[in-house]
Amino acid sequence: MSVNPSGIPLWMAFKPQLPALPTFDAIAQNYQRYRIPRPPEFDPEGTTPGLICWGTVGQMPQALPMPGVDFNVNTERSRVSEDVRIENPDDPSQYVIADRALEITFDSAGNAAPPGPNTSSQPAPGMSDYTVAESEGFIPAGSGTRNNGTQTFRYAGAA
Amino acid sequence: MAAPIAFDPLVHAVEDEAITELQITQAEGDFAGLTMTVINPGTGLLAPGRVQWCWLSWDSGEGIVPLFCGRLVAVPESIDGEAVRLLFAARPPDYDEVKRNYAETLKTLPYYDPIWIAAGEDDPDVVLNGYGAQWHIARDTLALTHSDELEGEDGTLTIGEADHTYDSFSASYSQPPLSRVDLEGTLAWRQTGHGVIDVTWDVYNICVVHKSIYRMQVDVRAGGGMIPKLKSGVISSLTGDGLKNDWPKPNTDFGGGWTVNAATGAFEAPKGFKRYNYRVKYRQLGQDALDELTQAQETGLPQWTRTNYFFGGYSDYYVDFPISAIEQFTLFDWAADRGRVEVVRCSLPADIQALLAEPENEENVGKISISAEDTITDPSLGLAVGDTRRASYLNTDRGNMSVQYLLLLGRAELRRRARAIEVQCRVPWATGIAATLRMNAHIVDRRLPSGEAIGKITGYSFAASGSGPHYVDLTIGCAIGHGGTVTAAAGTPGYVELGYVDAGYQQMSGAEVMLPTADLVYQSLDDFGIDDDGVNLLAFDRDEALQSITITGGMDDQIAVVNATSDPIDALSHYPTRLCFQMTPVAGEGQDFETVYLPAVQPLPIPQQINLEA
Repeated sequence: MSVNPSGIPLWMAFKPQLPALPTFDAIAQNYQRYRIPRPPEFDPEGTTPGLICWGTVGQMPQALPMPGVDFNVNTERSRVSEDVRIENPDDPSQYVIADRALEITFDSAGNAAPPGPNTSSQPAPGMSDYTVAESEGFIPAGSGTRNNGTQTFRYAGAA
Repeated sequence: MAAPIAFDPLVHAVEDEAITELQITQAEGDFAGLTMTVINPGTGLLAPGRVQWCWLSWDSGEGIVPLFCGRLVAVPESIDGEAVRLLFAARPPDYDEVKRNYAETLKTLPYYDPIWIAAGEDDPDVVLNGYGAQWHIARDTLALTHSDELEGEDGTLTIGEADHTYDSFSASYSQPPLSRVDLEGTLAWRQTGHGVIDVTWDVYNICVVHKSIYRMQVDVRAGGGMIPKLKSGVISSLTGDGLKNDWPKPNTDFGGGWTVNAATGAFEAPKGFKRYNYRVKYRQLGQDALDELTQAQETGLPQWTRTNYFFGGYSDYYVDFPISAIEQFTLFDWAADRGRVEVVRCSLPADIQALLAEPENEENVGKISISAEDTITDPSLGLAVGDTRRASYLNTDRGNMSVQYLLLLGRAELRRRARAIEVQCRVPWATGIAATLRMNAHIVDRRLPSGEAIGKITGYSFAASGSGPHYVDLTIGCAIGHGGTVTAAAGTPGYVELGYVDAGYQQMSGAEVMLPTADLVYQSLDDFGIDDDGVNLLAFDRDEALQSITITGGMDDQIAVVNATSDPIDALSHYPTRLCFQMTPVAGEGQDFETVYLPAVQPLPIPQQINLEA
C-alpha cells in the first residue's frame, strides 16, 4: 500500500473514506492544504497575570441522515431476449452479437423498512428504453408494507 | 522700656542706671546677652512700675552708638556689696512666632524639600539644614535673619597687625574636618494609575482575519475618513453559543491589575445581519464495519476486501452548523499599584587642605542618610511626582530638587566641618563694637601661616568697666579649603538638535547640573536608566497594553476541521472558537522596582580662609 509523506494512506485522501480521525499531529503537519493550528496549552486560571481566555463549545447541532431515494433489489424471474447485431458504422465487417432483453419479469422483494441513504435519485442509464408492461402487487420501496408480486418490463422497440 | 522700640538718641541716650561694668556676648545661633553691674537700686527690679527692657548705647564722642536692646532675665545674678549684676537677653518678645514666620520664607526649593521632612515636623530650625546657616538675632534691632556659616553677609571687619592685642591672640584646631560625605536618599512610593483599554475592534479584526463572515459597515464622513456604522464589531463562529455564553463577565479579575470592564458583553447581533448555516455532508462507517475494517488492515487483507466492507457499512449524514452573529463589546480595566524605591547615592568630596583629613579615615567621612515614604504622592505636599503614573520621580525637574536638597545637606556639613581653625583676638572697643555675627573678620598677624586669616565671626564679647579697659574679644572660624570654582558640563543633546525644543524637553547626555549655590555640580540623572519591567503608564495605550491575541477555532479553521473529518460534530467539539488576550501586567505583583542613581559629584570647593599650606 502506497503511503504519502504525511503518513496518511492514500485511500484515505477523501473524507468519506476516512474510517476515523487521524492523529492531530498528522493533521497538523499536512492535511489537504490546511494547516490546523494547535490549540493553546491549558493555562490554569490565574497563573499568568493579565491572561484571559474564553470560548467554549456550547450547544452543538444534531446530525441528520441524508435524505435520498430508497430502492429495493428485486429478483429476476424470467427474460425474453433476441440477438442483435451491432456493427461498426464505418466498417460493417466489425460487429458483435448482443442479447437484448425484450421482456424482463421481476419478483417483488421485501420492502426495505427504513429508507436507506442513496447517492443518486436518477434512473440507471438505458432504463428509459423500457416501460412497465405488467405489474402485480408491486409496491415502491418505502411506500408500504412488505408484499409479494411481479413486475414485467418490456422493451419499447419490441415488435 | 516696657517693650522694645527703635533706638531714638533723644529718648534713649540717657543714663538710667549707674553702670560700673558691662559685658555683651553673643555666640552663633544664640541671643546676645548683656551682663552689667549696677548700683543696687534697693527695690525689686520686677516690681510693678519698673520696666524690664533696656537700651544700651555708647557715646563715642562723635555720636551715640546703640549697642544692645534686651530684656531683664535674671535678678539679681550676683550681689557684691552695693553692686548687683543684671543679665539682659536680646530676645524678641514674640521670638517663636517671628522665627516661625521667617522660617516659612526660607522654605524654598531646593534648600527645603518637604518630601524629605518627616510629616508633622514643624521645628523651624529644620529649614536651615539645607542652607548651612545659623539663626542671627541682631543685638540692637532684634531682627531675626539667617547667616551663612562660612561667609558673612554684612561685610568684613579688617583687623590689622596693630589692631589687636599681641598677647590675646590664639589660633587653634577646633574640630576634625570631613574629607567627604557619603549621601544616600531613599524614596519609597507607590506608582499608581488606572484606565480602560478597548479591545472590541481587536476581537473583530482577528476574527475577520480568520474569515469571520461579517464585515464592518462604515459611513463616509463629510470631511473624509470613515466611521464604523456599528457600535461593535460583529463576529461569527460555528461555536457561537459557547463563545457568547463564555464571554468575560464584568468585574472579573484576571490578574496583573486587570479586570473586565462593566461594559463588556456579547449579544445576538441585530436581525439586520443575515444568518447562515454551514452544512457539512459526511459519510460515516458503522461501528461493526469499522471494527472489521480495522481487523482487515491489521491482517493485511487485500484492498478490495476492505472496500467491500466499507461499502457495506456506511451511512450518509448532514449537519447544519449555525453561523452565529455575535455583537460584542470587550473592554478591560487596568489599575496599577506598583511599589517603587528610588535611591540616590553619591559621595561628595570636599576640596580641603590636608589637615588631619584622610580620605579613607572614617573620622573624616560623614554619612547622611535620609528616607521618606509616600511623600511624593501626597497631595498635601503638592504631589511632587506630578503624575503618579510616572516610573521615576528623581529624574524629573522636581525630583532634581530633592536630589539637590540631599546634596545641600552634605554641602552644609562639609562647610561646617571645614571651619576647622578657630582664631581668637582682642581688639580695641571702638573697632570691635562694629562686629556682628553676620560679618567676617580679616586678621593680619605674622604668626599665622601666610600671615593672615579671614573667617566668619562666630562669637564676640564686648567688655567695659568704669575703671578697667574697654575691649572686644572676637572669635572667628576659618575654613581650610582651597577656594576655586566649579563648572557644569552642558552635555550633548540626545533627543533633538540643540535649540530645536525648549529647555526641559531636551535630554542631554553627559550633562552636569549646577546647584543654585554655584559651587556644587553633579551628574545629571538623565544618564541613568530606570530598572523596572519597562511598562510606561504615562503612555499606556492599546499598543502598550496588548501583548498578544490568540484565536483558535476561527471560522476558517473550524470549517477546515469539519470538512476534513468523518465526524464533524465531534471534531468541532474539540475546536471551539477560543480567544486569548495577554495584557501587560501592571499590578507589580508585590514586587518593588528599585532604581539606584549613582551620580558623580565634583569636589566641593571650600573657601580658603586660612592657608595652612603656605
